[in-house]
Amino acid sequence: MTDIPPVPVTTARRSILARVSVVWLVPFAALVIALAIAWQAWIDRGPVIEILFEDAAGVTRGATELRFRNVTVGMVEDIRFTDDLDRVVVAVRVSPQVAPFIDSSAQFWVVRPEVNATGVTGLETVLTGVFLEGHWDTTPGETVYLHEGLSTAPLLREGEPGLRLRLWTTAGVLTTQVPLLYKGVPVGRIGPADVASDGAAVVAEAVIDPPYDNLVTEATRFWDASGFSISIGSGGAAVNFDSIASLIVGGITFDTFVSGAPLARDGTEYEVFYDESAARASIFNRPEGTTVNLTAIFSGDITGLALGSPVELDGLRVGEVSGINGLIDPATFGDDNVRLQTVLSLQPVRMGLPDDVSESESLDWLSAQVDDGLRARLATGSILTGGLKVQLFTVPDAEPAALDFASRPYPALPTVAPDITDVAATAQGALSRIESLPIEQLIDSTIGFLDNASMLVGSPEVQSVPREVAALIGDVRAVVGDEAVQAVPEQIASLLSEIEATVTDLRGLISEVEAQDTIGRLLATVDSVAATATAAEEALAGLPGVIDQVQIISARIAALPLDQIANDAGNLLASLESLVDTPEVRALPGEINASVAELRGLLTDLRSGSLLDDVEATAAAARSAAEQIATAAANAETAIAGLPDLVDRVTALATRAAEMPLEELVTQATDLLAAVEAVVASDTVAALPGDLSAALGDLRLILTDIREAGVIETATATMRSAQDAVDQLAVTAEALPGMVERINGLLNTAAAAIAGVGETSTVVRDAREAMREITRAAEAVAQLARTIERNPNSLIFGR
Amino acid sequence: MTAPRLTARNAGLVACTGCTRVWPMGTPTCARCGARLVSRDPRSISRVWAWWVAGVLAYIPANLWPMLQTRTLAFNQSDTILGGAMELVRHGAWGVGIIIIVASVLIPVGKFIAIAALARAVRRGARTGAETRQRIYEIVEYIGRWSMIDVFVVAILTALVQLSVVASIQPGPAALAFALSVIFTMFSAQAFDPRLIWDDPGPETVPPAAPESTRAPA
Repeated sequence: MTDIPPVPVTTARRSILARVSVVWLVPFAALVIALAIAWQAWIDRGPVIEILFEDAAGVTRGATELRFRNVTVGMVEDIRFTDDLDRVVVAVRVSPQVAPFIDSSAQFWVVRPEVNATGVTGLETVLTGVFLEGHWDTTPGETVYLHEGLSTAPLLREGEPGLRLRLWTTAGVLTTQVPLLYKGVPVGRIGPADVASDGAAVVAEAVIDPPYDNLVTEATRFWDASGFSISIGSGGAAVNFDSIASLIVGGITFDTFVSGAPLARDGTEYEVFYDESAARASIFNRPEGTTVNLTAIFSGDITGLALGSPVELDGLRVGEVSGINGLIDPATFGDDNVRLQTVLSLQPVRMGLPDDVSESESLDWLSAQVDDGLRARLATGSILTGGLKVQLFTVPDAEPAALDFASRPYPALPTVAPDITDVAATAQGALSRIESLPIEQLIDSTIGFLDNASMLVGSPEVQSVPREVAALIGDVRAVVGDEAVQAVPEQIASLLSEIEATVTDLRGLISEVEAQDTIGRLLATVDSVAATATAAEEALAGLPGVIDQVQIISARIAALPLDQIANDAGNLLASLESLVDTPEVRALPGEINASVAELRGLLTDLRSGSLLDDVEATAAAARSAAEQIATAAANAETAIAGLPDLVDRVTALATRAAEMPLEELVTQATDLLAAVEAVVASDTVAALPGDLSAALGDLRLILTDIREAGVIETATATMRSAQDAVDQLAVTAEALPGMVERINGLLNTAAAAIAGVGETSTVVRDAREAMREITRAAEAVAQLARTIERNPNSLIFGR
Repeated sequence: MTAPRLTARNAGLVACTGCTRVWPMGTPTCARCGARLVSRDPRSISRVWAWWVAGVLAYIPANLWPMLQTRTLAFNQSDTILGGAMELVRHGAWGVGIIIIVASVLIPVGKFIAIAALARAVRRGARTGAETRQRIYEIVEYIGRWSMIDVFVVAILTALVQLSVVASIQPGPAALAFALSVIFTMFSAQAFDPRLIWDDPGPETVPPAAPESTRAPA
């Protein structure tokens, strides 16, 4: 290849500028850019802060963001444990812009979806996962690299306006996440409820959002608004509740009942009352001041001591029992018996200490009192319920003791033996007393008394009393049964017949009278009656005068010194009383026996005497009397005619009476009464009972005679006859069934005979009908017989 | 065998890279197409290395930064190239995963290696034959235009999946870096003067025992 000209190939190295292509600028620029980006990234890298959490549920490395006002300002770079595995450390790289603000004011919490009765929060985290939220104030400070994470979002974020309150209650109305309402409008939030450190109350933080924070003053009262109330009154029934929401989830509401109190400051404590009325009532209660808690350890049975049992100092309630625990402390007491440790919450204000006394001052005072002998003991609070109370009282010569400040949880108050009135023991004592009563002795005495009484009743004298009474009755019966007495009706009948005859005669007489110029006489009679009526009219005309005078008399009578009469009447009665008191009157009953005997004698006389004959004579006399009545009737006419005259006289009499000196009359009445008194006091009257006795003796004789008559026998005979008659009837009735049977048999035979004849002819039909009639009759007879058998009396008395 | 292979340069000729007309050595411009005639581009290797470095530099963030930012209702996801491909493979999409891995990792990395090897062989000589290197060069040239497949995928997804709140896909910063890396790599390949393959290495290097080849360069 020699034809190819030699090509001058330059192999010498040229300058660096010539050798290096411009293209090298490109990688250089790329490198510069990369370095710039890296530098920028390094510059923009904020610091890593660490947050301690209890757990890191849902927090993911490289994915969970830290947000501030919902803007991402950081990212979780690492999650690890603390050295003792106690907590979780979440390392977050935060943006350098916010790093200076993350100072000690910063708060961090994990936002998780949360569903509760008041709503749903953090819903966005359901899809995107949880995120950390941080909050800090707006003034930069020194960055703090280690923070404590909060388990829940703070009620009031740092730097956020709002009023922080602390609510506490013993009523159990605070629960977590209840809304805080004012007239039904949510104005704040209540944080998780927690039990106070001493276990006595439930406390919760609360926040009132502005502008409602100026609704709360120091006099504001909070109460539970959940539930509803029913009130029934004259205006009807009303159901009240704040809102449907609070009905379901509850709620705390508040109001300021008293104006003028200063606005509440942050951290003010409020009690939450059970209801509005309690809240209202609390305003007017005196502040109780500080409370001093003491313990008192009681041994033995404290049945009946309960939380809230009163603690009394000399009978004045100064506190209450706020806790009861069992306590076993062999080191202190030397045995392992269970003792009861009670917590006494005392209010020094009630014990007379000043309102602003501090707790230590109160304890000092109590300690001095204990040195002087103040002790606690259990005492009966209520006999009925057996409830106990704690009494604080000063034992005069107590064993020295002191307030034990070493005791936990509160200083211990020395105690003494309880003073418990045991109802059961008292009842048992009463029963034992009843048991010791001399009941046997009492029963013995009673038995003796009853024995004596039965002996008295069994004595012959007493026993004979009924017999004598029976004898008396027997005598009476004899009198009644006497023939003569039996004959009395007959004689009365004859008397009546005679009277009838008399009347017949009278009728005849009257008809005779009628016959003789009846009409004329009648006319005359009518005339005279008319005259009589005229006279009567005149007499009546004079009556007003009479009445006037009577009135005058009445007036005078009214003016009379009746008192004296009354006195005299009193005297009279006194005399009568003394009379009755006389031995004679006392002896009267004794005489009654004699009287009865005399009555018997009298009756004897009646029986044997002519008394009945006299009756006949009397009847005859009656007849003549009847005749005389007729004449009297005739005379009546003339008597009526004299009536006006009579009226005139009465009038005159009345006039006179009016004119009469009544005083004199009264004097006379007085005299009369005095006379009566004298009479009563006289021996004659005194002898009256004696006469009465004699009369009774006669009566007795009469009764004896009556007895001897045969009335009873007669009645007995009559009854016997009646009995015989009834017996006869019974025999007759017994015979009846046989007869009926026979008739039945006869009828059966006849029926058989007729059945043989056949059924064609009318004769047979008639005969059968007749037979049926006979059968019916026989049945009736049988029925009659049965009735008589069942009730024979019906024969005598009818059906 | 000092000059076993006849090249245009050895023959005192220079070929026009524009219209392939051969001129005598020393001719400044091609009289047919007007292109400047250079027997060997003296700064070719330098440019190759410059573009190569820029491509590699761009390739690093392309793999570290997220390629796709997928935002759905439930979550936000940023995937790097390799991470996204692994994700696909793990979900069972083997085919797509492998394609992405091949297109985004194997091919660019292979191009870097190939270009570096070619450029190095010009100075230091190569054990492989010039024809093999020529084929490698052609393959690199050919395949360069397909290296953008990843960027295409991102662009299409971004355009298609814009479902407002429910789901959306946006290109990550890696997409830009990856595109730059591909471009730089193509420039690098372009800057390489394939005629250098056939030249002997420098006198200080031992000539390789290359197999005999009768093919002449264009």
